This record gives sequence, C-alpha cells and structure tokens, in this order.
Amino acid sequence: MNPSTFREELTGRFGWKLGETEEKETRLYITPQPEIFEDLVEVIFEENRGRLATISCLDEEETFRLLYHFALDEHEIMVTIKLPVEKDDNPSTKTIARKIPGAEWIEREIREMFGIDFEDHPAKKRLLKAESLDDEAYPFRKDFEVEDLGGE
Amino acid sequence: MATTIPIGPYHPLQEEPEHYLLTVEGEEVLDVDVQIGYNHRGIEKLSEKKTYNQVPFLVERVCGICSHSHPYAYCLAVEDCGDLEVPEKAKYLRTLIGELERIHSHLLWAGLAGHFIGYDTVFMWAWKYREEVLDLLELLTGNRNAYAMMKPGGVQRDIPRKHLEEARPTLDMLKEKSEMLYNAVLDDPVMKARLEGIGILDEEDARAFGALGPTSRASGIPNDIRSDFPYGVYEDLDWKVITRDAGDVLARVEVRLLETLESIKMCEQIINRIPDGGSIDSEPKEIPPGDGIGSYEAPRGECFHYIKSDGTNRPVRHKIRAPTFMNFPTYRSTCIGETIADASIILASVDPCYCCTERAISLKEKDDVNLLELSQARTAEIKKELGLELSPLEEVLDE
Repeated sequence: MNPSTFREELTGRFGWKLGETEEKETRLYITPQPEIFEDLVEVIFEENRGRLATISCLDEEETFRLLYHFALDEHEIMVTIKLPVEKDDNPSTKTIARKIPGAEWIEREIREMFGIDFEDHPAKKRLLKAESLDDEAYPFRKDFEVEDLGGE
Repeated sequence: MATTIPIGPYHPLQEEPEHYLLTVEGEEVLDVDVQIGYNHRGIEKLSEKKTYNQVPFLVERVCGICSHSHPYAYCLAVEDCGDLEVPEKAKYLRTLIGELERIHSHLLWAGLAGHFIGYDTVFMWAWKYREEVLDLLELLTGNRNAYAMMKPGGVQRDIPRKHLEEARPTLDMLKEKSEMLYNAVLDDPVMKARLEGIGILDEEDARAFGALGPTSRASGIPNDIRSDFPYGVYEDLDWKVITRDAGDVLARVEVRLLETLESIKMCEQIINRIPDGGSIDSEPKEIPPGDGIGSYEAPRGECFHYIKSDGTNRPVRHKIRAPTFMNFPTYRSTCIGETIADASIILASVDPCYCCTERAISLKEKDDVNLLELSQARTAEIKKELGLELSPLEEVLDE
C-alpha cells in the first residue's frame, strides 16, 4: 500500500466527502468534510492500525486548524487529517481521547496553549501552563506576545 | 484508608522537576496523578522567530541528552517540505552521531535504573563507560553534548578520517563492556526479582497510548522509525529491531541493552563505509510553501517535528513532540495495582525526559534586577581584585 492506493481505498468508502487530498512519496494529507471526521479516524486507527503520532495546531488568520498525524508504520505512510476549528469566543471541537487514550495529553496541551475546547474530554485540567498565567492567556496564539507573560 | 504521597517537584531520586501524587492504600498504588510544566520554555513559539538555519541551534537545546535527535528531526521536516536532497556523506555522518547518542543515552538510563532500585554498582559501571562515549563525541564533533552538526540539507562540518579511526578502540571497549553489563544484569537474581513481572504494559495498551521506542518494543510492537520510515543510511546497514513480548520492566532493560550492542555494530559499519571525499551540504536556498513532517528514532522513541512554511525564511509554525510525551501517560496502565517500592522504577522505566516533553519559558527578570548586569558586575569585581584592566562597560557597572 502507498499513499495513492490508500487514498483510493478511502475514496471508495467516503466518496466526495473525503475532500481535498495531497500526496507525496510517504505522506498523505486529507481535508475531509467535518461530518465524516470521526468515521475517518476510526477507519485509520482501528481498521488500519494507525498510530496517533500527535496533533499539531495552526493559528491561521481566519481559523484554527488541527492536524491529526497518524503513522501507518507497516506501510510507511504518514496520514495527516486537517480539521478547521472556527475562531469565535469559544473555539471547540470533539475529543478523540475517549477512543484513543494517547490523545489525552495532546488535547490538554492544545487546550492550554491555543484555547481550543475539546468537548467531552476526560480530564480538562492543566498540564503544562505556568500557575502565574491566567486561564484565558493562550501563549501559542499568534496574537500573544512574550511581553504578555506575567509573573516573575 | 487511602493516603496521598507526593513525590517531587524536586526529589533526590529524580534528575528533573516533576510532581507525582500517588494515592495508596497500604503498600498498593491506587491512582497516580502527574503535574509537569516546570521546564516549559516556549521553544515552539521562539522557533517561529528564527530563520530555517537558526532553528537547529535552538532545538538542540530542547534536551541535553537528545541534542542530536531534535535538530535531526527538524532537518528531516524541512527536507520533507522542500524535497531537499542530502549528500551521501552527510547521511553517514548524521547517522554516526545519532547512534553514538543512542549508546550514551541507553547507558545513562541503565545507570539510573540501577540507582532507582538501589543497585549502585550498575550505576557506576554504566556511567563510567558512558563517559568514554561522551569523550569520543567530543573528539568527533568538538563537544560532549550539543554537537552542532545538523543543518537543513546536510551537516555543518566534516569529520577527518584520522578521528574516525580513533573511534575504533573505544567502540571495541564499549562492545565488551556492554556485553558484560547485559550478562551481569540478566543473570543477577536480585535484578530479576526486582524487575520481572512488574509494570506490565500489554500490546493493546501500548498501541492505544501510542507508546514509542523501547517502551513499545518491549511490549512486542516492532515500531522503529529507523526501519519503518528509513532516513540516513539505515537501509544499507546490517542491524535488527530488538523486540520482547513480556512488556515488563525487565523487558525494557533488555531491549535497551541489546540496542546498545546493535548501535555499536552500526557505528563500526559506518566507519568502514563512510566515503572519504564528497560534499557534505546541498546548500538549499529557499523553502517553498507547504507542510513538512520529520520523524526520527530518538533513544526514547519517535521524535516528531512538523513545520508549516509560507515561503518566507522562517517557519510559520513549528510543532515538536518528544517521545516521552506519548510514553509517559502509560503510567495509568502500568503503575496502578503495583507497590510503592516498585512505582519509582516503573515510572522511570519509560526513560522519561521532561525537558523534552515540556520544551516550551522565557526567563523573566524581576523589575529591579537585571541578571546579566549582575553577572557582569561580579566579573568586574573579580577583575579589579586581580588587578586586571576593566572594559568601559565594566567600569560603568563597577560604580
């Protein structure tokens, strides 16, 4: 299996809803319709034994974008699912930590650093952020300046 | 009745700040909670302000042990984004330093593991031989840690043949001593009694938590980036992925000690094959817009770097995920139900590295104290005592 055959397999299952894709030698990037996101994660994690490498969060002008990186180690394919999260007063998306325990810390870090709420997350408490920082201070957002760091 | 025992944030047994809360009843551990973040330095954020060639210097300082792993993973990400070619010779040099780093890291851990269970002989042996590896790295790169070898598209410096040849006696010695250490540890009934059957992580849990490196390989998963997503020259070398099925702490010890032997074998092959001439740097000029993923097998497991480029000379976003970030949460599966005495070695058995895990502080000075000036003033004071000439700045500070 390579990125193109894996994409074809996914297209066979999800059709046009798989959305825009981009391929490289060992990489596959997918921007699916949000409604199939959970099914897609399930297909990659459960059926294809994908390993959740991590989730990267991008702070773009209009939206936040979450990049779920799954490694299919046996096939040498790194699949990345791109999921936009609307930038409003309370940006939020669904958690995957109930299904994949490894996502718990990753989502906690993103919640603290970018202020994205993961609905139904099993442990919404601080992991990394300094006690001197407010709950509403999100250091990894683009509009956060290092000078905003309070404390000593 | 359940009691809570705090360990840390600063504890004599631990080499880094972390805070565990063990909920225990009698000897049995019922629950574990962890508070980290004491080492958070904001490196991901800082990285967005550096150019592509400056970032390796920064990420090299994510971790003092894996100071080759982070820049390597970062360079792989940039090379993935820009489809850059790396000269053959540079690949050999990169791989050599990477494997020497793995040897010293595994020996460091073996020593600490001995120390955690009160077996300080192992600690002294392992660290004695680790010193030799660090000296060798100093000979080859100029530094015992933070080797400053990496740059996108190649390496910074060549290593002369004469120095490579001088590495052979050290590798021979390490091979003999690592075998001795392996046999001594595995034959020792005390080590067996202490480590066998505790902290078991089964294959399903290892997969669910996304465990990496020796932690997952000791649970029967042959996950190794060097063979799954090959980089460097691993495809040309003769070596094997070490796995064990038991999933206990003893299996993790065994995997790391055997991997040390594999790494020594690889270093010897690299020294034999490394080309004498040729380019070491493809000198990339620009990085096009796009995404880049770098996946590197650090001593503790996959080190993952992601960069987003917009076509300028610095990354818009640089995400770093160290292996401990995935390995550490497995304590939920391994510690609960064990005894307090075993908890410390189980927690240590994933070889946790907190500065990597947290990586992200900006040292903020108090309003009225400038640490730099304070340090310069002290230098001026000492110079005056010794009767040396002061620089103009020091004269101002001295007043």
